[in-house]
Amino acid sequence: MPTSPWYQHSLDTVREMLCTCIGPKWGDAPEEKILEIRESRYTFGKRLCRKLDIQPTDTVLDFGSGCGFVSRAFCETARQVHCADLNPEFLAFTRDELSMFDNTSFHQISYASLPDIPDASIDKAVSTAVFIHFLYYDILFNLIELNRVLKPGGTLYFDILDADAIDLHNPAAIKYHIEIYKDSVRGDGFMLQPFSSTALLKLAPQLGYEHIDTEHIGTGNSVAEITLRKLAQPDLPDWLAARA
Amino acid sequence: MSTDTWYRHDMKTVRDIMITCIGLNFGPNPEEKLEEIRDSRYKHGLKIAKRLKIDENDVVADIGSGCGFVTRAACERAKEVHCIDISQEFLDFTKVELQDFENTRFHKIDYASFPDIADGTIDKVFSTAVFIHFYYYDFIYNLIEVNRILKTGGIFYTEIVDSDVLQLESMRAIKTHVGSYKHNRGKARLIQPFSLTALKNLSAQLGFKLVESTQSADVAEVTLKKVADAQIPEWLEPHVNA
Repeated sequence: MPTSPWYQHSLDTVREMLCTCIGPKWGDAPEEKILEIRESRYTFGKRLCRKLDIQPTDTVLDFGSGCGFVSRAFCETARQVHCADLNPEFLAFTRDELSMFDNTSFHQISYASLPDIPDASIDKAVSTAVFIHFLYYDILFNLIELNRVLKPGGTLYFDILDADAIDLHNPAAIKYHIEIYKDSVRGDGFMLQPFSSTALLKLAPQLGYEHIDTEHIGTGNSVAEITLRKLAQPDLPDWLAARA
Repeated sequence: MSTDTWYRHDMKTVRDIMITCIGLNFGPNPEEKLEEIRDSRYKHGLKIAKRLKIDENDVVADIGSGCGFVTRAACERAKEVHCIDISQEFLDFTKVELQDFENTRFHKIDYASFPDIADGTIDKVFSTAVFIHFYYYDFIYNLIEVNRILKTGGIFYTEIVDSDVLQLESMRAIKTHVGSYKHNRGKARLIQPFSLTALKNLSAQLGFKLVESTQSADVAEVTLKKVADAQIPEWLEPHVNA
């Protein structure tokens, strides 16, 4: 077993953090554009508030909250916001970023595990630019855990890079990643991993979700924003329940 | 760059070769069931040969020929067969396994690159229990290379664990892989479910037309026909040839 699992990374500088969190689209020195990045992601967060109808009574989970730029919009609107991330450097950054909000708590998590979050306590769970890195098993484990923390009727939003819709002649989403794929980074958590929306909509109902909406956005419409509703706890097969 | 990329394995014994090649379907000591395994995989090869209508005029390539058990059926029927594998240990095993066939060649390859095989020279390509381990990017690179070696009108057969139809209650194909996944995400031996819908979308962009897909439990057997050379976008070209 490796001493450092694939999903753990050390991020020593703000530059590394921003490059990891937002990718290469802001250039090699994103720290010089931090105001612009913050504003862009915040605007995206506001859009999600409207899309998910986040209310002042809602408890919201930002799963993979990264730098907290998107979370800010939830903090302004919701009753309570949980920022959850694997990475302690991200969480330290986000604590500063959101220090003016007293309705926000921060949770360092393990892979597909949210031990601080009680069962059925979340109204809306949001995960941006996280599931785009996930393979089938990641989606399986994480949908199970998110189902656990959501209230019945609660909403889950996330985005995937839809393998059903990728156009190689309009490749903005995968161009950078395919360049670095061949030689060593196959399992790296930073790699974008296209995933099929068809496959997702086959898996989600088996894990207690109802499909609400799929919206394709981004260059070439290759990003699928998926909204699911928790209907029930999944009735997992024994072999999977033991591993989840 | 890593000095030992993910697709290289060290296989010291026949047991390791068998387990890597066929998985654990035959238990932890598959070398003790060699005849049974050989017969089972040969029958699978016969099924593929029938499906692809392999005959004495065909030049065939088996990508990821493994132990050569499946390949044998093609060797009995085709004009020429190219066994292609990343693993020298597999090829050494297969050379012995198929030594009776004068129509069979063996090629050690690198990742998604078959430099010994000329453009447009192959009538039928098949690949068993290989693409079930592939990520999206592996599909791109390998479909491009398969397209290159196939004649126009040539056929490509492969198998995927189809994530469009996977049922949690009957996930035989991935059951043993889920447990070891969390700490072994990038390991090449792990089965990686892949969507047939996504494969249709991708293969159509790389010069293929879906001819047939059949489901057997979680596995989709997919037959594609090369209808044109792959129109590789400029941005991708240097990485294909790297």
